[in-house]
Amino acid sequence: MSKISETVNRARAAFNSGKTRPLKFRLQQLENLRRMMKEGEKDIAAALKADLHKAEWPAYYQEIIYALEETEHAIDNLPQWMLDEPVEKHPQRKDDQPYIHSEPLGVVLIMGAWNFPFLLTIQPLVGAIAAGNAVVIKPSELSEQTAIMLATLIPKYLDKDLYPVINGGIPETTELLKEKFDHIIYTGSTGVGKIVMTAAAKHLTPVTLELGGKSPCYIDKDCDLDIACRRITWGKYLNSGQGCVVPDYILCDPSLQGQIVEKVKKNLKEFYGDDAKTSPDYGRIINKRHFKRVMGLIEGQKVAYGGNGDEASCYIAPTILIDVDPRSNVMQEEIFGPLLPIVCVKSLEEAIQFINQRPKPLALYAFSNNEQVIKKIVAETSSGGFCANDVIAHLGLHSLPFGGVGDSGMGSYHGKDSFRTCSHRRSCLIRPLKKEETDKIRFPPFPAKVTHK
Amino acid sequence: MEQLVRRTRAAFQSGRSRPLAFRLQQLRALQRMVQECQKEIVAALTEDLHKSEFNAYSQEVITILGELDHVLEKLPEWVAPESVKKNLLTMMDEAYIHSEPLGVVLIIGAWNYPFVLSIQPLIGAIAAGNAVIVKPSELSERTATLLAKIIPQYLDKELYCIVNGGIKETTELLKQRFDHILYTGSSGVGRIVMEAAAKHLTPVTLELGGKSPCYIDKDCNLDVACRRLTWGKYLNCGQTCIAPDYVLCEPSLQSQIVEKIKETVKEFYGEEIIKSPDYERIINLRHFKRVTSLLEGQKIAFGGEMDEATRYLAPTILTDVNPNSKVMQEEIFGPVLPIVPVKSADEAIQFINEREKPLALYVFSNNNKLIKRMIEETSSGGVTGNDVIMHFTLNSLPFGGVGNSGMGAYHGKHSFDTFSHRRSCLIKSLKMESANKLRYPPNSQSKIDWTNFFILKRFNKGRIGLFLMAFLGVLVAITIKLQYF
Repeated sequence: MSKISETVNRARAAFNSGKTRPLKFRLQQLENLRRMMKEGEKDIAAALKADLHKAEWPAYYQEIIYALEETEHAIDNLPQWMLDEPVEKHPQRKDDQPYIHSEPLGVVLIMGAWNFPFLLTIQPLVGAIAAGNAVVIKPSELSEQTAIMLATLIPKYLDKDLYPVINGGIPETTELLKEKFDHIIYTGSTGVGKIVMTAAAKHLTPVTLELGGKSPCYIDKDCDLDIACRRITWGKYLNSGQGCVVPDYILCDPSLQGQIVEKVKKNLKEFYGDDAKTSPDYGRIINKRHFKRVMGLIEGQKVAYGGNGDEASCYIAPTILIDVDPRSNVMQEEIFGPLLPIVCVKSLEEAIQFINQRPKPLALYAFSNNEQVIKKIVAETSSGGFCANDVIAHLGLHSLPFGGVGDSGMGSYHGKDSFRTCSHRRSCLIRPLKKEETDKIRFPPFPAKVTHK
Repeated sequence: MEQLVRRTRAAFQSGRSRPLAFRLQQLRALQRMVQECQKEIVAALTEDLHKSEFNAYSQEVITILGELDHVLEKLPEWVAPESVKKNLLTMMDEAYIHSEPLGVVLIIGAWNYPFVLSIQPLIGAIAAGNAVIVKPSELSERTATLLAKIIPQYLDKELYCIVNGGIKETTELLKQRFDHILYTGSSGVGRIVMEAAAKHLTPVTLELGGKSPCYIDKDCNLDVACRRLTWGKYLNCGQTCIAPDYVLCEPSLQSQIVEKIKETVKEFYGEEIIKSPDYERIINLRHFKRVTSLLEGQKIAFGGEMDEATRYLAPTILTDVNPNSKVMQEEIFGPVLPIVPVKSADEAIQFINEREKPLALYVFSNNNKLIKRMIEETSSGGVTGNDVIMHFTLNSLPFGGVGNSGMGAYHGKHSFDTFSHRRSCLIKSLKMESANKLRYPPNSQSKIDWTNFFILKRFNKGRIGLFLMAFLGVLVAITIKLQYF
């Protein structure tokens, strides 16, 4: 039997022992996880810096703090989440006790991504542990140092049998996907999402797929352009554009284009200085393959700012492209890089039509002072999530489930939703064991014909 | 098929299925259809499954009418945005979940309750604002034909279609892209459906099956237990996904259980069961042969009489059943009740856990603690304690499986949720920009400290801490406001 099979079997045996079920155990593991993040902060930040050129501050603010907060939130709320949920009973059956009982699924597989390699592995892990599962963790191999760090750090703090970390590339992942799991949470591309779901189908394993797409950002004429551009600049160039909910491209009236370019430029200079390459806060592209891919998207485009890159350090300057043709390459795939195309549209209706002609994105953004504009966009489009007048911020609120729809994914997590996703909500009805009046109409023999009302 | 799906999608994209008024109108039309065509519906069910008119009405029509009443009443509530709890950073914002239609939903029905299992999901899909293609099971032919006739007479023809056919047509249909597929049937075909769905990243709800165990405790009212068990087991000739498949009990109870079920069967179906209008038949010859072959080599304590011509198989009880025998390897889906003796509740729990997670678990006991313990130490789609099947009838309880018995759930609001996309929405204002200062580069230690405050609320959580936090929160809010004026 392969090492991978052995590891999964061991996790399953550990789960079957029943030790993950008591609240106390789960809280203890979550508290250990919290301790791991506090004590290992430097190691975690170092790994993120090595993988993505993330400085200490962005590493903390973009990843560690949210993972910590998710853990704290779970610790605080788990006792309540685990309670049975009574539901409305049948008015004529007052002695019935109907309720929903949350229980663990078994062995959950979490496949992390490389762009926020710490957060995207730990955040789902919190939910899976809270729900009482054993968890097999497979970090992305592209963010190498983080994968190694996780494999070193996690076994020091969490139960070794229940929460193993498995590292490796495509062959190992393919082998892993042959095993039976009780739920798989995958974060990554649409293409691989299909492969994961197909593998899961063989075992009837439910999946949560956090995929991607091109998240549009509509800027209305009636809006505070200064603030809008500041927020968009922040969100777009965060992690050098390598975020699943980063505003991928802008839709706006042609008259706004020039102003937007100027304001984004201004903010870029303020955030990263005149040469972003020298800024400690500006990230790098994960590897040469993606570097080449993103640089290739600039070809043939009108570059209003930036456009240069350095392959040796995988640096791509913050770039703005204008008058972009919707049919060009940069508009055919998720950019996942620091290029901001501006596509001009004549009206809100045209923007909505443009969005609806394309696959449903993971996020949709709209900037406007006009509430009616915002409402119209929400009513007439679809996307995983939506944020008005800001970008990315909807991820920071636990009570909002985070997930995609259509090509951008299925299922969701964050906060209590993670607990739900990794649980089986089992419907229970406890009835009184005695004769009842209703027995007369419930049990045969019945009249053969019905008197139709 | 491609054309049909394209046309349905175009109808969805026209936007007309979205307004609440339209959805309510279609649901009321569906309600009218059920009321006006009741006779034909009952006749089709009667023919397909040899059901009495009364049974067809009470098992299927009433369930649908009840679901329609419930949805018509609650839908306005369900479509409203759901506000969610905010945190310090989003204090001034609007945060809510907006339920929206997915697009084109495919519902693949089953043959055992052909009306309910096509129409109950259809109700939820319409309520959620989708276009729907329904593929009834070809095994329940007359119901399939009837649905294809009456649905277009009452509902929007382009938005809601019935597609009939066999394996070939279903395979063709599954190649198309849908936005959600709800399938009711076997685990084997469930895998095929999910694999086909994976090609389009279509989420699925799979209502599958399994062997639903029924544990009967020593400490229980055996009369009532056996009565309810008999009812649930032989309902629809055992062809119910949540029928109690087999019984687990201590050896000392076995003969009493047999006696009581025998008595109850006589009470329900009379001396000549074959003549009772309330006793159904096996759906077709293939299943008849399959179920009867499960009797081979078994100790038949009661029943076993059969008539192939009419596909009649008497209510049957098998005793001292060996867990390795054929009847214990597959979902029976027939009127055969194996009793497997176990020494204790512990052994019963172990027995259940060694097998695939079933769609339902049943436990009969006066001891509520035991019932809770069995729930705690096993898993299954759903549970009814001290009865069988009843958890299906309460639409506040989501109905679905787990593991091999399925994924996802529906009924009542759960249908609405299943067929909707719950889209998280955060509406911020373009003001209050100062609150964002912390997040912009270039970084600094003070930013880290403030972030700790806002996001982690790192404080002693004692009362004083809470007051301090609230005070500081107000102070911050005032400071931010003052910065604007």
